[in-house]
Amino acid sequence: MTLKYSKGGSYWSVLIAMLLLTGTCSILFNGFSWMMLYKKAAAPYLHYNLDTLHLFTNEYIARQYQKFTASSLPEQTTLPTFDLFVDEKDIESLERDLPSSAKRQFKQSHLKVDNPPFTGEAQFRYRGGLALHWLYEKKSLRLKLPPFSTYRNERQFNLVNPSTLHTITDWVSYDIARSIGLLTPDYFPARVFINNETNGLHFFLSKLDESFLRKNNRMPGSIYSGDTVFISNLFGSSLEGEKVFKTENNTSALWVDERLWQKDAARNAESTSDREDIKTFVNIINESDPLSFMRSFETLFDKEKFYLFWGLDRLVGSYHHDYFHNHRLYFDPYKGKFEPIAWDIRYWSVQVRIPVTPLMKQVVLNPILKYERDQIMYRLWQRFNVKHITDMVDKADSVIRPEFAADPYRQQPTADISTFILDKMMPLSMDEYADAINDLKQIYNIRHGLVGQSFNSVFANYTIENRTSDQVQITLNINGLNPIDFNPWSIIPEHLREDVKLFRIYEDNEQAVLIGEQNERLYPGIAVDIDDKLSRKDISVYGKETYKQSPLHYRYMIKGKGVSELISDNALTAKNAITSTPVVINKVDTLADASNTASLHPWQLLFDKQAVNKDIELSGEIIVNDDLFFSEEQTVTILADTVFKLSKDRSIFFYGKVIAEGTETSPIKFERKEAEHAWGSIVIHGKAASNSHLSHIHVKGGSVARRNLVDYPGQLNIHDVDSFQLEHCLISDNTVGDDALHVAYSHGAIRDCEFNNTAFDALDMDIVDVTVSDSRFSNIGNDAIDLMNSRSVISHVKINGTGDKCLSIGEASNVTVEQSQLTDCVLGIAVKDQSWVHVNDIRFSVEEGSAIALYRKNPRYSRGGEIEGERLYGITERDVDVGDYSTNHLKQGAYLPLTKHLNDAGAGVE
Amino acid sequence: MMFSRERFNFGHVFLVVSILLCSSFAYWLYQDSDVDQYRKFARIYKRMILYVQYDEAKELHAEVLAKIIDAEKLDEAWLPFVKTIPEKKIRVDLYARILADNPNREDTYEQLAFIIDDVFPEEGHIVEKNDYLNKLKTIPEINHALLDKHNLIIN
Repeated sequence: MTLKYSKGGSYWSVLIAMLLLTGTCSILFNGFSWMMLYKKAAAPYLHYNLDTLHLFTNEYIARQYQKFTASSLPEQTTLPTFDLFVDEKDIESLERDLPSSAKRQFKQSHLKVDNPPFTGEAQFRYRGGLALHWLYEKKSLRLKLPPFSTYRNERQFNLVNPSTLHTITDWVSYDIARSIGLLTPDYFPARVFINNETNGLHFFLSKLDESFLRKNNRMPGSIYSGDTVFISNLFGSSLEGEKVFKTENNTSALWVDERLWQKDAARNAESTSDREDIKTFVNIINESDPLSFMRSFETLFDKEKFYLFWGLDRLVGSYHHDYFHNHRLYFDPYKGKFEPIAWDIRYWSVQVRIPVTPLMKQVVLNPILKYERDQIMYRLWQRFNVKHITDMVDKADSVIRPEFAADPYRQQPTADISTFILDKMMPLSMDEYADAINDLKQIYNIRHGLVGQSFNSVFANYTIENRTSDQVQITLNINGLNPIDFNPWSIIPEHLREDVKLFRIYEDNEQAVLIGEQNERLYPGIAVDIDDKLSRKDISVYGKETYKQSPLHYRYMIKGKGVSELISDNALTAKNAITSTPVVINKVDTLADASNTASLHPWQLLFDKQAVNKDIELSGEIIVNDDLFFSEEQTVTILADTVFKLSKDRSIFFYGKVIAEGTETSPIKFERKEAEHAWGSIVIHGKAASNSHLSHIHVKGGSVARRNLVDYPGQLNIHDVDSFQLEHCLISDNTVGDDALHVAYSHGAIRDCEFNNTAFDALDMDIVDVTVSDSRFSNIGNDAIDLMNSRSVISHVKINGTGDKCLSIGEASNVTVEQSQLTDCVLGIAVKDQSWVHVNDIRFSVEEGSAIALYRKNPRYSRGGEIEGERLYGITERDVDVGDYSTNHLKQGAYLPLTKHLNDAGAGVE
Repeated sequence: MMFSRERFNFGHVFLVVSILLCSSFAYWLYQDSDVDQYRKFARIYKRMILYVQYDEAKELHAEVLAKIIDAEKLDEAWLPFVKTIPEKKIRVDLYARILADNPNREDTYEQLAFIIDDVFPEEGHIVEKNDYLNKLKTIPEINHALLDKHNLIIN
């Protein structure tokens, strides 16, 4: 009956009208809903009005349009694809009360990745502070794999939403960071599908945890994150909490309150709540005496890494590592140094101002440290020229562009909508993307030019003052950004130099400049001002202080008969200490005022410095009642027959090179002063100790030591040393400590050494490349040789009697063992956690079934051990225990009877 | 028949009204809001600066300023733009108009406080300054606590 009315067209009119109205209402409803959700989850301060509704409705339409117009994914790709299969109810649960619901619970899923192949269970949740990570359809995900399950050696990792307009800045920045040696998370683009539906282009990002450290060949240690201001308000609470994290100056309290550094990883389970390292870090930053800071900075900070880290920020103009957030810090427990982790290097810009954190301030106000920093910056600037970076950007763009075109959820943060306190994400067209990539290259082009200009900033002039007819004072004024290399003797005409004396004058001190002294470096200074005209946002990013060039003056006194008549006022010359370009120093009547200069005067160091004996020779009997320290610049030679008698818990620390060469008949001995009291440790630590050579030494009766936040677990410790040699040594009878000899982060050789009667492990090596040969181990309390994440060749070694394993090879080690005897061990060789061992010609005398074990122990590794090789005497296949995910590559013919060993010519160590 | 005609009329009227409503809605959506206008300006202006087209950028800036300078109320979307105006006198005037649009936005008070003493120095401009501050006080729903916090009151 109703259909009849259609004859008149009324039905279709109503239908069309209804469709139009439904469509309109639907759009309006979705825009309105989106606005309400955004206000609730991300912007509680938002006002409902027509303008806001207009914005959100348009955004909704643009996002729908983008979905419909996204192209197909390219068939060929180099990107890995992450397929996540999840229960829809779990997604609903995560989104029930954003943002808290998204981050406080992990949900179960199944994960499949094509490259490298992975399939298995994974827990997931949303991650990230800003709304872009969890509010929109494309989510940033945190994935957590079960114990013994890893993807690219990581148990937890992130798949993050690109969070800058330029999209690829993080990728390119991380690649640069890695190439210059900074500790850098893995970061690369990836496709993500959730329940077979594309979730767009993401980036894989490592989680900064113990796995990250192990993967980067670092000892497990503390990782701290310094993020403050958003902590209180990110999850929807009021802005009042912000004040908790600020100082009286309204700046972030991150640099004065160690509690604001969140501990994300620890050395071990026992040290999870130990915060001594971060307290030390904050105390050093707040050191009021610049010389004390300098000493601590040089001892406890990996200076070069910090300089590279800051240099990279300055190179690309990133202001993201600011006064209040985005700092990641690692403390290496065996190097004893803080190291920055490259994290969130984004927002490349042409702007000159880069935030100066209180740590950087200490460096900037020390001209010597500042120069070291700038030198490294200069090298970076030369290496990463415009073409280099343009090529990197183009290469990244060529990968990203087709993927992005197929991404239905492309978006960009915009700071141009002032309604929002934090950047609002808006849809991103491919034209805008193309512009953004071009802009990025232009930004770097300008930035590189600006940075280059700064290296030419040198100003120098001087005055002459005749104090008496026999004394002339020359004062040099150095200003600008870079120091000069200057020969002070160039003030005096060459033919007069024999007849006069030249002095440096600083305050009331004078120091002779010796004839023939080379160029000295004269540094400019820095003045610090308080800027009262900064907005709250600027203060939170930059702090309240501003820094500008300011002069430093250097006074020389020339003394000699009638010298005032002889010194002319010609222009002097010097060299820019960074670029080596010539600098002309003109005479002026008065110098610029230096009273506002806040920098340390470098000559203070010159006059404060105690004379250091750089070459030290030790001999005879040396009683050690107090700890002994030898600095980096000291080379210590210990003569044969020297005996160190160490008191209870006393230790000797060598931070420079050690040459201890005893003889067979006159060894060098380290022994107890009192028979009943163990001494501490002998420590050889640091790159300056490289090429140390110890021969014919006897180390007996020691224990452990601790200094500068480093625990030394052995009675002899070699840490962070290249090319050491230890030979013809006897190491025995230690007590208390885990190891008799501990080697970490070192390269070198141990030859013809004997290890006896050790309390626990005899030789413990972590992250080393060391050969061990012709050595003997007997009566060992625990393992004879314990290796972690190391490369080693062990040959002609005899082990007889251990409380545990003869050889314990774990955590991604790669070791060759050959021509050795393993006798009377609880277990002959343990190969664990992704380690690989090649054996050749090994004679076993162990209990049946206890020769070799391959297994997984540490849940951060997905695979067990692998072994291959030949000529294993005294065991059969039954003596090899192959655990889950481990592989025994030994062929049947590799197992030989013990009797055969005696017949094989040249085999074994006997 | 008559019933049918009624339906016919109703259907077409309904359709016409729907089209009008939808068109109005589409037109409203299509129109650039202040936010859209500022975003367009900011994008072009930033790129002009980046590519060293300073004259063109200056021209564009002046053009936009001319467009907004006479508005009685100024949408808060223009706040970042106002901050870039070199003439501080014009800025304080525009800040007052932005406050009229949104009297609860602290950024506006803060930015105003930074420059007010430059525009009305103590010597010789006390009366002018007081007039200005009095004018602020009369803005409907002005936030007196924020005025007080940023020292935008007559001492």
